[in-house]
Amino acid sequence: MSSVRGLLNNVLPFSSVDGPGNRSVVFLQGCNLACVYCHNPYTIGLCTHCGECVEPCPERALSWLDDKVIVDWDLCTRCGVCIDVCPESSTPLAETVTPAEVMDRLRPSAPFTSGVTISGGEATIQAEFLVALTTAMKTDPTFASKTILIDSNGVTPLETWDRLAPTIDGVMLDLKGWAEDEHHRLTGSDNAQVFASAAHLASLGLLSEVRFVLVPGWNDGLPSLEPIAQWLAALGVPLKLIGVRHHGVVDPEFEEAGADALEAAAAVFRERGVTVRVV
Amino acid sequence: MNELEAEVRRVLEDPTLSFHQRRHHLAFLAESSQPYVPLPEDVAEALNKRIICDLYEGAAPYRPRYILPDYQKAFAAGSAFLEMAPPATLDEALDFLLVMYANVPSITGYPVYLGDLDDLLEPFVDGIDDEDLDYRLRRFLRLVDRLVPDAFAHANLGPRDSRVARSVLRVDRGLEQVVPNLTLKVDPDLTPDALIGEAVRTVFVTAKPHFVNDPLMVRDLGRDYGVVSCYNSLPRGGGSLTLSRIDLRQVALLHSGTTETFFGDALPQAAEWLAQLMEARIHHIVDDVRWFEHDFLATEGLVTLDRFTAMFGIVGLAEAVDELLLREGREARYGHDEEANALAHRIVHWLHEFVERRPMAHCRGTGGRALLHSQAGLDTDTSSTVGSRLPVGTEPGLYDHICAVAPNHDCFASGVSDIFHVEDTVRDNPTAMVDIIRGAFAEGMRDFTFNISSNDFIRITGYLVRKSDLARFEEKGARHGSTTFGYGAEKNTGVTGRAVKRVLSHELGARPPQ
Repeated sequence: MSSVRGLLNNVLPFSSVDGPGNRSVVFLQGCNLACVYCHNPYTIGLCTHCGECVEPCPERALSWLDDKVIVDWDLCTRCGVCIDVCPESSTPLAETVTPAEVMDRLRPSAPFTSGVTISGGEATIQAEFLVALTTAMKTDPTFASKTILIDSNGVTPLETWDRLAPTIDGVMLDLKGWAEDEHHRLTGSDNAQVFASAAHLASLGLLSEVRFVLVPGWNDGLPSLEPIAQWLAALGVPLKLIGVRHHGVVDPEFEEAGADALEAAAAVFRERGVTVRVV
Repeated sequence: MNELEAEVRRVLEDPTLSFHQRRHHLAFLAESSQPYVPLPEDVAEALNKRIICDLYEGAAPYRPRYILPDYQKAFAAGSAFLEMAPPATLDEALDFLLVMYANVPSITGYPVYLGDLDDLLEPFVDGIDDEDLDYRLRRFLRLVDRLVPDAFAHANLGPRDSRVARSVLRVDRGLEQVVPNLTLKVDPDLTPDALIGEAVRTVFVTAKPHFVNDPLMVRDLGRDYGVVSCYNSLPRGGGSLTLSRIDLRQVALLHSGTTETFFGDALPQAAEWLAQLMEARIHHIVDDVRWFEHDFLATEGLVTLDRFTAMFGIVGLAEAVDELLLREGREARYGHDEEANALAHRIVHWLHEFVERRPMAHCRGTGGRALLHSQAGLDTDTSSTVGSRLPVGTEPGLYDHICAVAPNHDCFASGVSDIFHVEDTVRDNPTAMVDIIRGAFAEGMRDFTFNISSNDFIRITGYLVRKSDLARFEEKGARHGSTTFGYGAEKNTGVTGRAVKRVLSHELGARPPQ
C-alpha cells in the first residue's frame, strides 16, 4: 500500500449531484484557480498556520503545537467559524492522509453508492496522491466494482491524465468560459490547458461530461455560448449547464442565473446538437 | 344531556364530516358505550396513565384490526356469499376486487389490504397492450380512491418485474391520488433496477411507493405476507387482531432508577402490562364476539384464525434513550451519538426478546407469539416521537440517519417505516435513489419510505395527505377520512411547518377527531 500522503478537505458519504447515481465525494484541499463564484472558497488555499482562527473558535477546538495550528476532533463541530475568518481561503481542518485512510472513511457508505467522485479544490494538483488513491481503490475489493470519477477544472498537465487513465472511469471537466479574457476574468487564469485536457481526455475515452456555469453578464451572451456549443457538438460530449448561485460565495459580484436565462442558454446548445442537462 | 348524548350530538352536527364518516364515528361511540374489556387493575391503571395505549381501537372490539384476505384464493374459488364466480378476464378480475373491497372490514371500516395487484392481475393481461392496460388500471384505481377514500388502503407490488407493476406505478403518478397507498417488495436478486427506477419516478410525484426488503420479510413471515395500512407487514390470509403500544418515554419518566433498573424492572413490567392488554382485546374479538365464526371471509376460508397474529407496538424510543442518559449525566442524543444509538438498540433488542418469549393468545399465524412493531403514532402524539424514529427536525444527514436506525430494523418483524427526506436535486438523478434503496437493504434495513419536498403530498407517516386538501380541511372537511387525522397531526405537531417534511404517522382508530 502506498504511503504517499495527500491533503484532504473532507469526505461526503452521499451526494446525488456529483455524477451518475449516489456517490461518495472526496474533496482534496488546494486549487489552482480562484473563480469569482467559487461556493467553497475554503478549499482553495493551503493553511499557513497564521493562527487567526485559534481565538475565534467557539468550541476551543483549535490550539497551538510547535508553531502549528492543531485540531481537537472531539471538540470540533465543523461550525465554520475558522473558515470564515481565514485570510488564506483555507481551513485549519484539512488533514494529511494516506490512500488507505481515505478508503477507510469511504468504506461504510460504499454499499449505498455507484462510486466515488474525487473533487476539490482541484484534485489533480495532488497528482502523486491521486494516482496512489485511485490505484489503491481499483485493487481493493470494496471499490473495484465502483466507478471512480474525477471532477476537474482541466488546468492539469496531460501527463497526469495519462497516469490516471488506467485507474479512473471518467472525468467531469469544467469549462468556465470560451474567450481567453472571459476565462481570465472569471478564474484569474487562461484556458488553453482546459481545451488541451478536454481533447486529450476525449481521445482517451474519459471525458464523461463538460460543465459550464452560466454567469449572467459574464458568459451568457451568444458570442460566449455558440463556440462552446460547436466545440461540444464536435466532441460529442454532454453538457451539464449550471446556473450560478450566491450560496457559499464571499461577496458575490454577479447576479444569480434565473430559469429563463438558463433555458435560453440551454436552447443555444440544444439547437447545435448538444445533449444538455440543466441544474 | 349525558356525555354519550353530547358526543353523539357533536358528531351529528360536525360540518367537517361526510355522511359515511359520521356513521363510522357514531358506531365508535356505540361501541364505547360498552364496558371496557375486562383488565387486571394494574393494567387498567397503566392504560389510564397512557404508559400503554390501545390506539383507541374501541372498548369492545368486534373485528380484527387488520385483515388481509387471500384474494388469490377468492379468485380461484369465487365467493358464495358475494355471489361472484371466479374471474376469467381482466375486467372481471377488477370488478371482483372492487366487490371484495366493499366487504372487507378493518379498524377504519375500509379494507387496509387491496392485494398484491401484480400477482393477482398478471394472469389476465395477455393480449392487452400497455396503453389499454394503463387505461383499465387508471379507471380501476380511480374507482378505488373514490369508493375507498382512506389512505390506509394499501396495494402491494413486486418483487418480480411485471407489466402490471409497471403500469400501476405509471398510472399512479398520473393520477396523483392519496389512495391506494403502495408498497414495492424488493428482492435484490429478483427486482431489476428498471422496476425500482420506475418506482422512484413515482416517489417524485406522489411519495409512493414504500420499499420493503422482501427476503427479510419472507424470513420472518413466510412467502405469503402483505404490507398494509401504515406499513404493517402481516401474514396474508390472516392479519392482526389488535395493535397496542408502549410509550417508552412514559416508562422512562415514571421510573426513578438507573438504566440498569429500567431494564431489570420498569421495562419488563410495562411489557407485561401491554401483553395483558392485548390478550384481553384478542379474547374479546375471538372468544366473545366470535368474529371468526360468522364473517364470510372466515367461513369461506379467505382468512383463517391460523394465519392471525397481534402487533406489540412501541413509541417514544428517542425520548426514553435521551432521558435515561441524561439521568446519568450524559447529554447524548439518539441519532447523533454512538452511545445513544447503542442504548436505543439495546431497548429494541430487549423488547424483541420479550415478544419472542411471551406466549400470546390466538397468534397461531406467528408461532403463538405477537410481533414487535415500531408504531407510527397518533394525531394527538405531541411528546413522544413515533415508533423508533428520530425526533422530527433533529434528523442528521441521510447517511447518518440510516446508520442510526438500521440496526433496529431486524427486530421489527411487523414493520418499522422510517421516513427519509431526500433533497429535490435527486430528481435529476433517480439512479441515486436506486443506489440508496439497494444499499439500505444490503445493510439489513427492513422497510422505509421517502419524502421529497416539492410535491403536493405529505406523509403523515405511513399514509398520505395532499397539502392542498389539508389547507381546505378546516373550512370544508375532506372526502378522505385520513385527511381528518392528518389535520389533527398538523395542528398538534406542526408537521408541515418543518424545514423538511418528515411527518408523524398515525395508525388511528375510529375515534372522532378531537
